[in-house]
Amino acid sequence: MEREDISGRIKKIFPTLEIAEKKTFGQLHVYPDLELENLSEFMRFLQEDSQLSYKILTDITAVDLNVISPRFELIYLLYSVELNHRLYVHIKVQSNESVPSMVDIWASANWAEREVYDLMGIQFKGHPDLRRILTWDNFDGHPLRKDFPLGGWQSPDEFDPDSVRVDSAFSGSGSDE
Amino acid sequence: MTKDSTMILNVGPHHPATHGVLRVEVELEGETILRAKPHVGYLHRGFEKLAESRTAYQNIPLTDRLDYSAASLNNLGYCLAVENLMGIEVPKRAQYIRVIMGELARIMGHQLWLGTHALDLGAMTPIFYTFADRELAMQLTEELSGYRLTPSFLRIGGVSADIGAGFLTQLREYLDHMKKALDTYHKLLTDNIIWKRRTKDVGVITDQEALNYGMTGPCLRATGVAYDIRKQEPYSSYSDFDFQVPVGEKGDAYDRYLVRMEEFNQSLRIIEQAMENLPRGSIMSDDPRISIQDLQSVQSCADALIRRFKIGSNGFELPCGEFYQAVEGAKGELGFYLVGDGGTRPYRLKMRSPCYYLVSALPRLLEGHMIADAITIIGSIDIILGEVDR
Repeated sequence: MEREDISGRIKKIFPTLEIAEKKTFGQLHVYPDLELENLSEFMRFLQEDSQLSYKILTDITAVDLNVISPRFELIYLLYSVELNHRLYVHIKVQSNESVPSMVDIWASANWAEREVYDLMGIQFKGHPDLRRILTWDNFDGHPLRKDFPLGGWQSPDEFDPDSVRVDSAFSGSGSDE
Repeated sequence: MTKDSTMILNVGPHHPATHGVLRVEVELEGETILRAKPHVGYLHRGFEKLAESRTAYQNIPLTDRLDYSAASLNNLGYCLAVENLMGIEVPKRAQYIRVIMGELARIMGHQLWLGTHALDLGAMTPIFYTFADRELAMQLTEELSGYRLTPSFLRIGGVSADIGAGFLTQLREYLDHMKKALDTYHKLLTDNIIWKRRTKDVGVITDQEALNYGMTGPCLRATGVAYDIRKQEPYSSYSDFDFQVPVGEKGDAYDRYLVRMEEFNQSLRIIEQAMENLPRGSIMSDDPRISIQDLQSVQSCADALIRRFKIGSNGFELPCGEFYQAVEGAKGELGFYLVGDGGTRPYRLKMRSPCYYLVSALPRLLEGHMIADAITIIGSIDIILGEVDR
């Protein structure tokens, strides 16, 4: 399959879906205008379709647009080994919305979503284990948001290392067993 | 929830076999691992946040500290991301020097892995050989950049120093030495019956699963998928070089070992070709947006002086837009997703770390294995926590 046909193939399967496209520096960014409930269906097609087969979810990242609404842009970085092609799927997310988890489609979404949740504060529904990952469990705030100050909310002198809590992954959230 | 007959054991964060500050919670029944949950973040330094407050140049030393065992490769990924976003062409000579430094870094990274991995499994000898040889590569790095571990050698638009005839002679000696050293490594381990028993059929993963977990690099290639970004999406003149991508079959710890051992060879081949065909020319791009190279004009013309001072102190503007640059790091696909908004600081810089996804596959890899095999598996996937936690 030719690389040029990729967006054609997507449009053929989702004829009613409006998909904006941007090709910058030879990279294909798509901006499907869909309800978040339908995101799983769209992604599953990209992964399972025999012609596209984006088998690797390289990463999920988010950009905080701060004053613009919707506030967040989620970017799914997909890679197809067969086509040797990268696809960047951009989804707009409001700060109070929760995004369906992609863990059922790609296992790598598990930690990718945990990181986005931890650092950007976007909720994912249906995620089996949505805990903080890079910061500790009772950390206050989401560091990569633009309104989070670079030095954090607390001054280093006030910081009490004993207050840091990391729960056992087996005991479920909140319990100290 | 755990059953009564099982025991929870914390492996790490201070266990030497976790190669840093990785903590793995394992649920054991006898000596068999029922479930495993890795905890990461002990080395989180907030690089992505920090990068948003620093100019494009100032971020280069941050990238050194991702995978500090192969620092030049991280520099390469970041510099390429900025250059491609801005549309800067890097001179051919600089590209070749980058390749030489990158492949030296890859060799150093693999040597660190080989020594410590064997040490974890009770083989004391290999680490003395690999670290002695790694020291030679470090001396070469120091010769060129002034630093051993975190050289920050690359610049946006080129490299910071040119290589001369003296360096090339030393590099040639190093290559000759490494070819012999590789034979020694193979003699120590490849046919060693204890090594084989400890690593064969341990931590097996199929190609489909490995893809699903986002595994890349030698761990993915050990399952038989020939995915190497240097071949798939050549950057920095990699298409000029003749090298092979070694793949495994079974995807066990022994295959991962063999793949990396062969990568040593291929890296040496690449360095050799880059040395022989090293083009002449400049080592820095003369793009006026990033620097003013012509020192004559700086000394004689006030505008050039002001411009040079401004770039040095305030940085240069990154254009609006986004670019994802993936490079083949020592551990796998190292990516930089750079978003510019017209300011001098990146609006967002996401570092895609290969090790992060390798660790995320640990629960699947460890399940059902003995606790002693956990050490094999953690060693065989070759993780550097600086890169996992960023």
